[in-house]
Amino acid sequence: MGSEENEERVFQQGGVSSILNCPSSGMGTNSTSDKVSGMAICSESIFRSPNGLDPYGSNWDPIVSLSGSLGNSTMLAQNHEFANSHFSAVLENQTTGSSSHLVHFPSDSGLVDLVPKIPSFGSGSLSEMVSSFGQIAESGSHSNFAPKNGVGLRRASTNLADSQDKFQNSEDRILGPSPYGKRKRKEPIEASAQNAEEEQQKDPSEDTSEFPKEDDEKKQKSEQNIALNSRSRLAVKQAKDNSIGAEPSKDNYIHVRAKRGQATNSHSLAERVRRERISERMRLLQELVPGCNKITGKAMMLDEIINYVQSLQQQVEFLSMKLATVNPEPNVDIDRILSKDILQLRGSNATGLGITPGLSLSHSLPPYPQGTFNGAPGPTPPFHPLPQHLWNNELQGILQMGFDPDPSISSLGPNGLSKMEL
Amino acid sequence: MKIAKNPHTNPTSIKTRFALRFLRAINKLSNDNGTSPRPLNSADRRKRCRAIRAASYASMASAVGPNKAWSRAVLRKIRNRTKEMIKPRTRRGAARGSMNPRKELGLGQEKELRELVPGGEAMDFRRLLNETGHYIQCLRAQVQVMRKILHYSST
Repeated sequence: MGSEENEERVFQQGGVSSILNCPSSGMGTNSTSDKVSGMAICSESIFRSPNGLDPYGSNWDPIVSLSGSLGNSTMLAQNHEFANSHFSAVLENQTTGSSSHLVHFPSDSGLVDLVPKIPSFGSGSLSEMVSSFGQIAESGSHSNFAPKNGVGLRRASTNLADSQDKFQNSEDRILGPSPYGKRKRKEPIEASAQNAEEEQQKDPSEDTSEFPKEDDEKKQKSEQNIALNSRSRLAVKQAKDNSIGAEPSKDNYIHVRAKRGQATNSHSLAERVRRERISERMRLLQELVPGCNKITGKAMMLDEIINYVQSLQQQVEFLSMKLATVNPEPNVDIDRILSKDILQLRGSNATGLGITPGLSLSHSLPPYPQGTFNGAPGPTPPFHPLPQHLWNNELQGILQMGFDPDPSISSLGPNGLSKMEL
Repeated sequence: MKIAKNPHTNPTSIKTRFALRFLRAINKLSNDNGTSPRPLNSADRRKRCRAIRAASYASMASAVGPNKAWSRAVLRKIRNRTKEMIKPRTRRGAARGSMNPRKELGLGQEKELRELVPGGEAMDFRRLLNETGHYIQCLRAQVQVMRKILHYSST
């Protein structure tokens, strides 16, 4: 494809018009031409990045043909989202996609940032990348990028393989824009998303001096949280909102960080580890909160947790109110504790009888005022050795009392002794 | 990693410790109130109710010990409150919010959770989940013990 070579050269020279004259597409309105030129020029400078990869190597050809369109960057950004579903699609649709792509990026001047990532795509799964490019172009043409925002560009060779996982965990990956992963690591407290965005901006300002304006604008817009137009940054919040809230905004463009070096993988892994830890804790909480087995999703789980904590606190309040009206006798402490310990056993073994050594039960117990324990004179034998016959009687007495509405105790049942492993 | 301590198999379980402390506190309260068996006055009852509730949280926190952030926060709150009652002092600024905890965009749920769990304002989300888990366990134990105390004192 001679046109590809032409485009290569054009790219190198920053000649825009020939790109626009890409025979495959009818693209290139005047409004976009500037962007293309900007992108071409900027991409040129970025291509000299220290990646050490020859962006114009032979592997570039199919990519370059696509890169003629501005949509390239977004395609790169989106390749993960659509990778798993549209791989077969789209080489044919590249052109049309790219043309419509241009229409979508009138203001995306920072797309060039994505271009240097192309080298990283390099040798590996080029066909995948190409198809994903095309498919992204296609999808970009008829949908906004909002739902899929925030996926950082990764090296295709390693990442396209993971792309499916990452796509499904797009929410997870949103937090993993690599360049400021470093900063997050240093800080013991994870920065807020806003801080992350600020860091995000710091990093590109260091890395890409070509886009000072974008950084400033981005700082302004980051507060608005979504719709960082003409940004080639990863909108963490935006992505999260999209993934969680599922509210696609028309202004959402894919903004991807300029990747620099190898750090992205490790940082994304760190982010992934962090997310997994959080989800692990959420699972543990799920076990704690009753009736949460079917609930999946962090938001609903958090709702349940909050409700449960609130209900427990209300119960404490209610019980304390009731206790306020009741005046317990002062000498009831010990036997209450004793009975409570017995009641709380619930099938645990004898060691779990909960009698602390501190409890001075060795001295004679006062006879139980309630008289609920039959055959439990108990005062003389010390409770530390826990004579079984005594416990049996007392337990039976307690069980017969119907002491507690606690449902978990009902598991003891009439055969509670056997469960007690006395 | 969160360690799920099973209070039932632990001989010196939290429930036991809590029950001890709580009963002691209640006794102390009822002794301090004099010999009036029933505070029929609603205000007195409310005061007593609040005192009992504070006593329950305090005894649970002290039973848990200083290992957990939420128990430390509860104890700190109670100590500050008693100190303030004795000697009103200017409240030290809320330094909690300044640490910029990581925000999880759960539509404000995280914030709500932070408000619910004592001491939850100044920790990251992962730690918050940890503390929440332990807090839930202890709250449950607290409720159970209180219910039993109520049951026994009413029969």
